[in-house]
Amino acid sequence: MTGLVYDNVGLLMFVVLGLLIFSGLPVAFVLMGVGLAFGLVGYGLGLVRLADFGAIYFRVYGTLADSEDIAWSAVPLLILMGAMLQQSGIARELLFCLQALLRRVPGGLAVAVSLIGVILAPMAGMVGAGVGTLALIALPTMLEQGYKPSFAAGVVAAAGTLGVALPPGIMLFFLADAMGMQVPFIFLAMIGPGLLLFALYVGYYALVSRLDPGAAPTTPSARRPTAPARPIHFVRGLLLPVGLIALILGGIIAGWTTLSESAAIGAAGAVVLAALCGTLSLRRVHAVVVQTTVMTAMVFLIFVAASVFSLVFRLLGGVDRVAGFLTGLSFGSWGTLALVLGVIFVLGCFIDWLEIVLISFVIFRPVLDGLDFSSHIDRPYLAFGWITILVALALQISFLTPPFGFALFFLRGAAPPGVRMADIYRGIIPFIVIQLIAIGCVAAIPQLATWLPDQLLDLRAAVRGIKAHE
Amino acid sequence: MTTSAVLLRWSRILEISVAGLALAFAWLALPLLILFTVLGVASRWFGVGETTALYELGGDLFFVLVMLSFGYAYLQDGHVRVDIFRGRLAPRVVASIELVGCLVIVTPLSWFLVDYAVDAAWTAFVQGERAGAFGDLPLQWLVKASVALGFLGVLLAAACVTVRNILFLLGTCGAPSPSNDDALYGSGVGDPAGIDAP
Repeated sequence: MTGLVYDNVGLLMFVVLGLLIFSGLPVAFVLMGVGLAFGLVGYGLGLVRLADFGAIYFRVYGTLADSEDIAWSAVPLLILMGAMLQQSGIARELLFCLQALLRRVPGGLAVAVSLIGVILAPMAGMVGAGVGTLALIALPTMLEQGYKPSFAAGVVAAAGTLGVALPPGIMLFFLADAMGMQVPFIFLAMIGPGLLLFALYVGYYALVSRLDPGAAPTTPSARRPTAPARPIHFVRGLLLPVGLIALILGGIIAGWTTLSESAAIGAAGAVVLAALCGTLSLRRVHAVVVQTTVMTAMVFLIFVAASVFSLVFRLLGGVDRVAGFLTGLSFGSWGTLALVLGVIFVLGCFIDWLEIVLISFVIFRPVLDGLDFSSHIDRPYLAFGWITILVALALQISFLTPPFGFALFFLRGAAPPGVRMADIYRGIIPFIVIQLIAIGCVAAIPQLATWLPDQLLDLRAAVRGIKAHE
Repeated sequence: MTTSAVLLRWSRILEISVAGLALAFAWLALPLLILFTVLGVASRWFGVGETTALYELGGDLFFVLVMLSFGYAYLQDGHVRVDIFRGRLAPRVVASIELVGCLVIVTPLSWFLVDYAVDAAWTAFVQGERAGAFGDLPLQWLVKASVALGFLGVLLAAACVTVRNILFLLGTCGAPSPSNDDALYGSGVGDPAGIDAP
């Protein structure tokens, strides 16, 4: 009996975590609490030494203090930039401008909403924020112009989740860290699949407005201009925000700025932009500070907590056991990758990406490290970049999948009363098909992801980081 | 004054202290972080002077900001939860779970971390550990002390949440805690789309 406990205490730890996490208590506290409690159990079993408890404290101090590889200070700056762009009303102005520009395009308003998702949602960072913002600004306009509720809801959910997986979103930041990849590589690698998805969306909108004109009306008579679009609006509502994002990505690509420098320039730029829009009031800036502080705390407490949990999990031998079990299944590289993507997909139906990336990669990282795709991709670094992108895409689909799709509940919460849950479910199905096509394309043709970073970055000396604290 | 009124008043004072410290520091640190980083870029491009110290100071500001904000975020109910079941539970059950969680998980946990962090900060102080950021002054203990202060904030926040949930279960306090409706200096957070923008 004791032997059984001794061997499986690491697994028991994951089971307890799995149960407690559904209590609805803050995930970070549950992670740290389970970590600490099992540290004590391990101490009782002689698996953990007293000195290791000092290591638990050091996880809290060390994960953020000595970050040579990744400048975490970029994260609050990106959050601040996003909060500022939201609070300043840029999102609405952007919608007006794009609507005016795209009025002759089939399904133009849907395209406009997707573009806003691409431009602004990465800043929002979390799925809930991305979808919530779009639902508030775009859904009422779409319904007003006669779009079918199911179609409109699908467009908003897809646009909001697309943005979360695109650069410079903070999801890619944490995913890159979890996989030991450079952040610029992952940013660049996501551009190809992102464009592919966007093109598929636009194609679908065109198809719908042709086959079912009632779903996505384009007739100008149906729309009345919501605001007069003057050149000044185009400059500050369209060119400046787009230019700001381009500046951030361009600076990183060209090697002019580091990631945190780009983030700081972006944050400063967002403040200037809000000032130009005349919406920079003390009350708004305060709201931005509050939003940034709370979200930064949320992100990093989970980050620290997952690190504490994984330390104890490792000390108790859990990592070796699970990784050994998964590789022992002998599914081969493709089968194991599919299994991991499948599990991530299922998890994504219940919880946001942050917990998935930070918790499940404790187990998945060693499993993925053992895979060999040398017959598919010639260099291992590119292969792991490709896997990272597949994970990002799998996460993105999972947010959209009924009945538990995470984004769908946020959409329901923010949508006008006329939109029913059934509309949302119906509207989202074509997008899931599109996403599956995209993930299949990227799986079959890795160059979609790896070509751009391979061209632009000097990868000769690139090696994957071992997480410094493992 | 009744006991519950006294308790509520004290928990309000604690909440305001935790929130005030976090937000005051955020107002200081966020602009400085932007400023230092932008200055760093500018001075590198124009070849003016050494920028390492600016970046290190920025890193320290970030670290302290994160530590001090943990407790405040808990009071604002900002820490992410898996709430697929929680949303369907009765308020009394929600309050009971939170109460148990505060007493069994959050309190011992933050106590443990405060204890270790105080030791580490004291050692750094006594040994005069140097921080590269402050012109090599022996001030590294300040950064380490922020871990202790931060988790003391979490401990105090958990105490307030405990008190409020006990009072809720006894019927003297309106809603389970924490709740983001109970905004602590947080006006405008619920306006993500900037809908009221002119």
